[in-house]
Parts: sequence; structure tokens; C-alpha cells
Amino acid sequence: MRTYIIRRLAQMVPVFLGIMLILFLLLQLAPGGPTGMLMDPRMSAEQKQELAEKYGENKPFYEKFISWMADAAKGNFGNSITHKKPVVEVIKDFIGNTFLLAIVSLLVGLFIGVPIGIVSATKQYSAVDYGTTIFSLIGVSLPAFFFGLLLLKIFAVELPWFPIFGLTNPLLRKADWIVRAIDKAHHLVLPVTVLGLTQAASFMRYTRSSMLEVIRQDYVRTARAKGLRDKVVIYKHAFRNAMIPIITLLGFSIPGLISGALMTETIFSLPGLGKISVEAVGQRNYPLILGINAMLSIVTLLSALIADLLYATADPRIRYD
Amino acid sequence: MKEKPILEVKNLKTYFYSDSGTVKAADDVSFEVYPEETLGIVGESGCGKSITCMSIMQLIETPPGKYEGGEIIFDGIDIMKASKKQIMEIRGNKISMIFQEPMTSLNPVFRVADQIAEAIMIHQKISKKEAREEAVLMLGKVGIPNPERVAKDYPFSLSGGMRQRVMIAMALACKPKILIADEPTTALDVTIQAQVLQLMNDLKKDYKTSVIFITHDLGVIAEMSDRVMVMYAGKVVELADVEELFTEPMHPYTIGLMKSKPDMKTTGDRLTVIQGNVPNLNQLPTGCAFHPRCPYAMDICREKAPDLRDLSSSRKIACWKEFQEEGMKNE
Amino acid sequence: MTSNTTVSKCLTGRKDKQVESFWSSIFKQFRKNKLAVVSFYVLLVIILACIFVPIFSPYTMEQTNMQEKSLPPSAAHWFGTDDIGRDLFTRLFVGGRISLGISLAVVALECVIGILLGTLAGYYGGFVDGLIMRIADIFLCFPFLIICITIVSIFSSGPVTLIVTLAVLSWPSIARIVRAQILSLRELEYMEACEALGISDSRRMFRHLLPNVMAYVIVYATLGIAGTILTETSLSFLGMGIRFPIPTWGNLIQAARNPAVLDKYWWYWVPSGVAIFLTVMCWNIIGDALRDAVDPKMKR
Ligand SMILES: Nc1ncnc2c1ncn2[C@@H]1O[C@H](COP(=O)(O)OP(=O)(O)OP(=O)(O)O)[C@@H](O)[C@H]1O
Ligand code: SF4
Ligand SMILES: [Mg+2]
Repeated sequence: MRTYIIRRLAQMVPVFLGIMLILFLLLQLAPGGPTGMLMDPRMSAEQKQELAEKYGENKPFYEKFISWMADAAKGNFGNSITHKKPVVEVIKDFIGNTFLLAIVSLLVGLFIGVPIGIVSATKQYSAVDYGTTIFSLIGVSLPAFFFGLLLLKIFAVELPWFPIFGLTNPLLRKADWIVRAIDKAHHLVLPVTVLGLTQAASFMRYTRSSMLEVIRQDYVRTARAKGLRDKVVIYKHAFRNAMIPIITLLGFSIPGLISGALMTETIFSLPGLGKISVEAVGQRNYPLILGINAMLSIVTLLSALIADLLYATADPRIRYD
Repeated sequence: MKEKPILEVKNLKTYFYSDSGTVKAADDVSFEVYPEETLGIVGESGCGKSITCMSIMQLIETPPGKYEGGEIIFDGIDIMKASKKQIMEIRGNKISMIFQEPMTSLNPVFRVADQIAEAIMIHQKISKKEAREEAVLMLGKVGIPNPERVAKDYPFSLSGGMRQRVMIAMALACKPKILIADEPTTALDVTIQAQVLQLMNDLKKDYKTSVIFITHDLGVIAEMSDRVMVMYAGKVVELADVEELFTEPMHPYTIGLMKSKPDMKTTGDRLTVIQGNVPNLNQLPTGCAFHPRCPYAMDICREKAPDLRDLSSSRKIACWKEFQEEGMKNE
Repeated sequence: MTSNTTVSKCLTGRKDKQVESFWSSIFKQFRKNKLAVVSFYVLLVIILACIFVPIFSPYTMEQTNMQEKSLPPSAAHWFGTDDIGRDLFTRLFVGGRISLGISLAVVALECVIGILLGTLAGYYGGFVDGLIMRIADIFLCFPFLIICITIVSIFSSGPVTLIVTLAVLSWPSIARIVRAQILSLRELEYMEACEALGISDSRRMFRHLLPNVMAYVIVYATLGIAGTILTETSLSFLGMGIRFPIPTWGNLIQAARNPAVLDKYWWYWVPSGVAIFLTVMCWNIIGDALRDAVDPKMKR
């Protein structure tokens, strides 16, 4: 286990450096360079020169990269040009909503997708199985933005049950926390439906195929031959093994989850990273957009590490290697 | 006749249905198992040995399989008609099974002792702790050195021979009346094979268990069994006491098997030396399924399948060669 | 497999009878899946429509007509007109050309990169493998959508930028599949036989391993097209792909972000949503069926 973790960490270091290097290159390639936005067309050439000097524009490439990395390590990604605040502060303001949406949807997806996937695999070729297959096929084929708009059209425009946009009702700003919590939940219903069902669809597919693979294994037959009840065979012996590849896939699906959350935010105009990224790109606010990229890449890297740890706990063959 | 059989299989039919046709994996199979005896089952790969035994345990996946008829009488009940609850009480408790592949037959994510204890716990209604102690005891009985330590191991850290010992411990933990061993040593090295066979013989005597022993290996059959059943293409073709069968094989297929075995003492040979191929079970030849390969084949063999008939009190055979002579005598 | 057939298989390479029957058995398996066959024809109809509707339509995609703006579907305009009177039926299929064309190009480029790097990694192992796989990890860690819009905004938003960006960000999955296949095939005995015959490295790699790997790549590519269509339409929905006035399936739906459109003009955006959904679903069904045919043990 120790060696396994150390090995995984060692593999992560170059990946992390690579990510940062690519982002740094993008920043350099951005029109006007990293300081481009600070420059005023009215400035004289000398002033520009001075500014570039001040921001270390003229240093050699590797020095610039190292100082950028050193800043990044301290959490300093520069200032967001439009917010007049450090990038980190801006991200802090918005990342909570994105995570709320992503995590709630992930949980919804897991709690719907995994059990249905199991039942579908154990009742192969039954009506339940066909229903599941069709549902998950639709779920992975329906574009999130179209699904979101359909929900908006039906449940917010035609039937005014849910708000059309935002995460809070401004009129309730001063209300009790419980009222505000309910209000937030109310705002989240449609977005979580979109993202949660998309996630559920892919977990159903994973779980079903993983279970079908495991159910055929000899040890499942052994478990049945011992006289265990079907439920114990399926949920203890089979699922415990089917879980292992699902955990791996969980790690791989984090970038997809994040992208889905960003898309969903945009459709429902939720104040999150997705919304500010799109804005930032529109305003050519490169320090902010690259800060967001770096932040989300690190989140992905960390969740991959967590998935690895879970994987190792689930699989004794790795734990004791 | 001997004492009362503890297991009677009568006209068992287990078929598989697939796109490419129907496979009659066990077709009208009948035999008995007597207390404390070892019944060996031999036959080429794919002749339905495993399916017959899995049917006794009701372990066939349905679909694609289907039990198309027959009775399996054990302890006064017909397993084919038994309730789920009755079957759960029999499985792993009164009849247990060891499989061919020790490497994959144990669940990789649970500790060895827990896997054994699980069976003890449900059948003997004792606490987890007691069941674990019992499991460690069983590990000692199957000759595993340092059982306390191995009990905490996961299967991946054990060798094939050790895993098969664990399987045996698991199968015998509830002192079953019948132990079905489906090629338990085929996947093991020759030396390990001998040790495991020895162990099974010893334990069988200790536990007074009847054994159904499936193998490809006539040497092993000769060593292990009291009676032998020969199967071909889903059917029983000959059933006899072990000495009788080896001194005077009667069914042409059995004769072929004996011939293909160069030396009684060599083990590990696969029985594929008879001329011709094992037929595809979904397109069997008409009449006696063995006729394309049989040196004694007659006209009737191509038209009508012979049924399994008593030749003497201890011997049954399904072959026109024998009945034809009998028939001629009667005329 | 006896060593004789091993050697002959090695010598004759992909023209081997066994290999041919491998493809035809895949085809046969595929044909058995009725849903997949239906999807294939639906997809064919969609593709043909994308090619021919813009050619034979009485309208062009830019032709505006202020007298006929925001009309609901009718005999003259099957899917109605938009706010400046353009025929939406025509625009839908022009959009389809672009969305489908870009997605196919992305997957093709992605396959080329993925196969090349995956093969190198799987075949050479060691340092090369480590390097390529770490680079793959890097690309898998980026927040896909955001890095896409970042790159597209830095390098302008033409179709070439879009295709290259998407392909460069997506090759790692194919590379991994190819690598895994090669690693398992490398173990096979016929490679040893080839070695004994002294067939050179690169020839061995490309002539003898790739046909086996191709089957998996085709499966992945088919499913990959489905995913790429979703990504491309998402980007253009965000206004980051191909931009107005050129229609794409994604930016046609963008109209619905205007509350008035969402409220009153469903025909602006529902048809392209349905078109994306149908197309993606067809590719997914075909991909699943191909996977079942290539790898029957994966089947249900
Ligand atoms: N799930 C299944 N679907 C279709 N046919 C099956 C299935 N399982 C077994 N069969 C068929 O049943 C026949 C008997 O199989 P069985 O496993 O009993 O053979 P066996 O005598 O045990 O052979 P071996 O010595 O190789 O273990 C085989 O010909 C096989 O093709
Ligand atoms: S019945 Fe006929 S073909 Fe079959 S084994 Fe006997 S003699 Fe041979
Ligand atoms: Mg068998």
C-alpha cells in the first residue's frame, strides 16, 4: 500500500508540472502576453517597456516559468482584470456553487445509477433490464444543454414550478437560514436533475457491464454453492468485486462531471465557475481563465489520487502488494 | 444389491438453448450414489460431466440453461422440485462442491477464513467468532501449515494447491453427506495433485462422506473411485465397479478410452486419442452418438439410440453390441 | 494453435483467411443486432439530408426575409423561420453538415495521434511508454470544456483551431486502448514466431499488430464520434465553436437562451436538439453493437 501510494504520487509530480507548463505556455501565447490587458494603447513605448520590465516580461523563459510556478504555489495567479481582485479570491467566491452542484449531482447519479445497474445485470433480458438500457442510452445521448432547456421550457416556463435562473431569490436575502436553504434547494432541482440524470445514466452502464462481468466469475458460483442467499451472493460477493472497476471509472469521470457542471450552470445561469469562465473568455481575462484551469486540473488530479486510494482499499491485491 | 442409495438421479435432462441450436448437455442421465462410496465420472471434454453435477446443486444459469425433466432424490426430497429454502439448506451443507479452477474459485476480496466461516455460520447458526475458529481448525485439517496466519490471508497470496485445500476445507466445513469434486486436481502440478488426492481420500474416510469425482484422468479414477460412470455426449454409456471396468471394459467408447491411455500410472493425459472428434452437442449424429467413431457400429446404431440397461447387478451399459447378442439369444 | 499455423499467420499477415473471417464474423454479429441496423439507416438518412437538403432547398442559409420572420412550421417552411426570416429547415441541415463534418474530422485526427502514440508506448515500453502515458495523463486532467474555450479564444475560433484542439485533447483515450491491446497481444506466441523469423521492428508493429488493434479502435472511434458531437455542439452552444451567421446544431439551440424565444418560438431550437440527440444515439447504438461484435465476452 505504502509503495503503491508513493508510486502514484511520484507519477503525479511530472503530470502536475506538465499541466502547469502547458497553461503557462498558453498564457504566454495569449494575445498581448500576460500583461497585454494591463497596457493602455495610449502608453508610450517606454512606459510599456517599464511595465514589461516590472512584470518580468523580458526575463528568459525558464525564469519566468519558475517565478510563475512559485507564485502559483503560493496561490497567487495574478489579478483578475475585470474583477479588480486576485484571481484566487474570484475563484473562491464561485467555486462553492460549482462544487455544490457537482457533488449533489454525483451523489444523485451514484444512488440512482448503481443500484439500478445491479438489478439490471442480475435480471438480464428482463423488462427492467431493457428499460435500464434504453434509459441509460438516452441519458448518454441527450445533450445536457438541450435537456436543460427542455426542462426549463416545461417546468419553468409552461408550468411555473421552478425558477428560470439563479441560485437564490434576492427577495429572501434577509430570511432565516432554513428558508434560504429551501430556496437554494428549490433553485437546484432542475440543474441537479440535468446533471444527476446524466451521471446516473453512465453509472448505470458502468455498473451493469461490470456486474455482468463479475457474475460470470467462478467465485460467484462458489458463493452460490455454499448455500448463500441470492441477495448475499449479489450484493456481498459480486458487487464487492464489481465496485473495483467502478471506482476507477469514478476517478476518470471527474473531468466529465466538472464539464457537465459548467454546462449546466450556464444553462440555468447559476453563479459558478462555468459562468465566470465563459465571461472571462469573452472579456479576454486570461489570468482568471488560466487560474480556473489550473484550479480545476488540480482538483481533477487530487480526485484521481483519492480514487486510487479507494481503489487500493477496495482491492486487497493492491493493498498488500 | 447394496444398501439404500443416498442420492438418486433419474432421467435428468439439462439442455441449453442458444442461437446455434439446442445443446443436450445432460440427456436422460440416471445414476445412484451410495453412502461412503466414491463414484467416478469420466468422459471427454464437453460430454456433460460438470453440467450433470451442477444440476444436482441446481447451479445451472437459467437461461440459457433449462432443466427439462428428471428427478434428483436426496434425503427423501426431489431437488428438482424443492423450494429455494430447501435448496439453500442442501447446498454447501449436505452436498457441497469443489471446482476445477482453484485460482478463480475463491473470492479475491475476502479473507480466506471469512470465506470458510461464512458457510459454517449460515448452516450451523453459530456466531461469527465460533465460525472463524472452526474455519481455522478446518484449515489445519486440510494440511495447511500455520493455519492461523493463512486464515488472515487473501487468496491471491496462496498457491494453487493451497487454494484448492482451502476449497476442500470450505466444502467439508459443514460435514456434507456428499462431496462433488469437479476435476479438483486438473489445474495442479503432478506432485501437488497426488497430495491433494491423498488428502481427499483421508478426509473422505474421516467424514464418512460420499464423493462424486469428475476427471479426465483414468489413473486418478482407478485410484480414487469405487464405481465408475462413463459419459459420452450428454449420456451415460457405461456404469460399473472400478475393477470390472478396468479389467473388462465393455462399451466401445470405454475400450477406446483405455486404449488411448498408454500407462495406467501416468497421470494428466487428456482423453483425446480416440479416432475422430467429439461431436458438436448441438448437431449430434442420429442413433448412438458414438457411431461415427465406433469400430463396432452396426446398422441399428445409426438409427436408434441404445438405452442404458442392466447387464448384471453391478453393471449398466448403453450399447447395441451387448443387447444385440442378448436379443439374438432370446429369439 | 500449432507453431506451423503461427508462422504462416505471421508471414501472410492481414490477408490471412483467419483475419478475413474475423471481419466478416464481426459484420455478421453486427447485422444480428436489429436496433443497430435501424440506427445505421437512420444515420444514413440524416447524413444524406445534411448533404442534399442545402443543395435542393429553395432557400439558402443566409437568405433573410423580413416579411416572413418568426413563422411557425408550415408547408413553405417545414421548420419555420427565425427572427430575420431565414428558413430553419435549410439552416438545420447546413448546421448538421458543420457539426458532423467537424466531429468526423476530430475523431479521424484523434485516431491518428492516438494510434501512433499508443503503439509506440505499448511496443517499446519502458521510458517511451512512461513518457507518453504521463503526457496522456496531463491531457486527461484538464477541465475539458474550459481548456477548449480557453484555447479557442486564444487562437481564434476557426474550424481548424477547433478540430485540432479537440483532437489534441482527446487522443489519450485511444492511445490507452491501443497500448493495452498491444501489451496483451505482445504476449501472444505469434509475435515470438515473428521474432524468430527476424521481421524488423516497424514492419512487425504495423503489419501484424495493428489489424487486431483496429477492431477496438473502430469501436472506440464510433463511440467517440457520439461524444465529439456532444462536445462540439456544447462549445458552439456556448458561442465558442463556429460562430454566427454560420449555423451549427449547437449555436442554433443558443437562440433559446433568450427568454422570449424559450417562451414563444420552440421551432428555433427544438429541431436541432432532436437532431443532435438522434444522431448521437445512433452512433452510440452502432458503437455498442460493434463492441459486442468485436468482443463477444463483453456482450450483455
Ligand atoms: N452456458 C452454456 N451455454 C451453452 N452451452 C453450454 C453452457 N454450459 C455448458 N454448455 C455445453 O454443455 C456441454 C457440457 O458441458 P460440461 O461443462 O458439462 O462439460 P464437461 O464434461 O464438464 O467438460 P470438461 O471436461 O471440459 O469440464 C458442453 O458441450 C457445452 O458446450
Ligand atoms: S451402440 Fe453401436 S455405435 Fe454405439 S457404441 Fe455400441 S456398437 Fe458402437
Ligand atoms: Mg467440466
